[in-house]
Amino acid sequence: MITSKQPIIILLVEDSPDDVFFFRRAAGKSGISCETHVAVDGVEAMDYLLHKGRFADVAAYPPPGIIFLDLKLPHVNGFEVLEWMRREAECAPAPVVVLTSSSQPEDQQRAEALGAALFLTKPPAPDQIRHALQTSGLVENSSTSL
Amino acid sequence: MHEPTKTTTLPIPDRKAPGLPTDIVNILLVDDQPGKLMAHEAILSELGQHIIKARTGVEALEHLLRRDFAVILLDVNMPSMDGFETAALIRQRPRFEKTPIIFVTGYNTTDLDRLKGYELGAVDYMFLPVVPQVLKAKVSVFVELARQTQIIKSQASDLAAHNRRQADQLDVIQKLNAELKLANSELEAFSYTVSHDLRAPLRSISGYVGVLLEDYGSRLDDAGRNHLFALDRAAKRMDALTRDLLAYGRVARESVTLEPVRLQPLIEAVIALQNTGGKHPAKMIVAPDLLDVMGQSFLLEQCLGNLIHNAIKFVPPGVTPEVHLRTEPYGARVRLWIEDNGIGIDASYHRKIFNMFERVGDLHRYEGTGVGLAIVHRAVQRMGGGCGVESAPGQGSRFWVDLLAVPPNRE
Repeated sequence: MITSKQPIIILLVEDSPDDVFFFRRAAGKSGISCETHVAVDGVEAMDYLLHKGRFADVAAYPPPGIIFLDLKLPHVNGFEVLEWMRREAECAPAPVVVLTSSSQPEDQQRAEALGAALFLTKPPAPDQIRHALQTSGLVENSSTSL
Repeated sequence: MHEPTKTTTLPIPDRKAPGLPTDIVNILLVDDQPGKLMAHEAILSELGQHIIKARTGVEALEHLLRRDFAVILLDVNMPSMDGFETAALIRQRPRFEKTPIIFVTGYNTTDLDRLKGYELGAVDYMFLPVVPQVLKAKVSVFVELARQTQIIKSQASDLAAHNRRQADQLDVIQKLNAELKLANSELEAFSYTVSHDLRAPLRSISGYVGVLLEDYGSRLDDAGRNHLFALDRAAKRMDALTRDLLAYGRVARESVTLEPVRLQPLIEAVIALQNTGGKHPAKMIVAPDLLDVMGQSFLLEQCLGNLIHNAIKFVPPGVTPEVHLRTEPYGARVRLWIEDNGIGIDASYHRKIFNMFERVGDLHRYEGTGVGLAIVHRAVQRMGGGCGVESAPGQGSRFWVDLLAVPPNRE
């Protein structure tokens, strides 16, 4: 477990700059110290986790404690990233929270079947992000009061 | 018609088959003696067929080129080209290979021997002088044969045409099915795009409005803040409209298999989704003995979700919504009542409200897309049921939905 002294490393896989903005803002208001890194599609997400390409510098891009994954991504979509993470067991170091713009039950079931820990409708509110970090065991529940 | 003599041993086949286009066939008489031709024609005219006469073998061949014959009555003893030579020529053509020939010959063995010498296929012979009854009987056998052959041929060609039509229709149906499948999958893709890409900017608009209000709200006056609220309402309204239209599309498209559904837990789940607090949490009174119905869960959820949503929404300001739900048997159906204490609906609108985009509530006071009851109507229709309302302004509304009851053997 990471102590609250060190910021929690979040990998946000999201192609929409607006949604990246809303996520950073909500994470900033969650009351939890965290550091958000962004991959803009599925290919970048895999590169980040493998320390490849522009994410080769591990110090600048440390392994994430949690991944927030949009399902609708260019090139390689969220489902494919989830499948890839399941196949490459050593590359699945972090719980995955799926972000979606629709609350389609089919999407939710498929994401859950692929090992997603949580399912959030975009844009997530600060307390939803905090809840996600808590249920993933990254912060203690005691530090949660509004 | 009565036959004067019953001496004949050859049966005269019944050629009566009214209405068939193949009733009349051709008979060819070939003889160099006009008297014999006329005598034979007189005997055979009773058969009611089309009789054609030829004086020579050559003339006979000319007729054969022009039409088909059921039978040829061919005199053996003719000058220049006799009957056997004529028959040999006829048989050379594949089209006449099987045309029956009756030779008319004098009673002498030379002719019979020569007949055997030619291999002339389907032939018969008659001795002179001809006995009318025998001639008629023999010819009518071949006439009947030709008629039957024609009937079978025309039936075969009818059947072939029918099969071709069926194959064509099958092709058309398969093509339509493929087009429909394509259209459906395009519609699915379209719906998916609408629900994601079209709604994403609306979400961003609402998001940025929230950011503006939070970070800069204190620097705006009331008018400025109200503009932002209006902007947010507009974005949310368009989002709701998009969502409802998608729901309507899915209700209209969803494949329907009716099965017994327990209304009690389904309604309780729908209420749990709808009644999420607010200023005046609604009082929902659900009868504990709701009857089961034949339906489909998704359609029922859409239908009841919208009805319950409306029942809670359309109340006068300051009034706590109170909604009663109960069922009663209604013939082979079950009638579900959703009764509210809302603003009520004037009788002149009772039909109209189930149409797309019809709204009767005050737009400023009651947010809505005008799609909800159209979804209800479509969903109920697709489950083979009906719906309606009893209401008057100021007296609440009593919406009813009829659904098929579960047959006793399926409980």
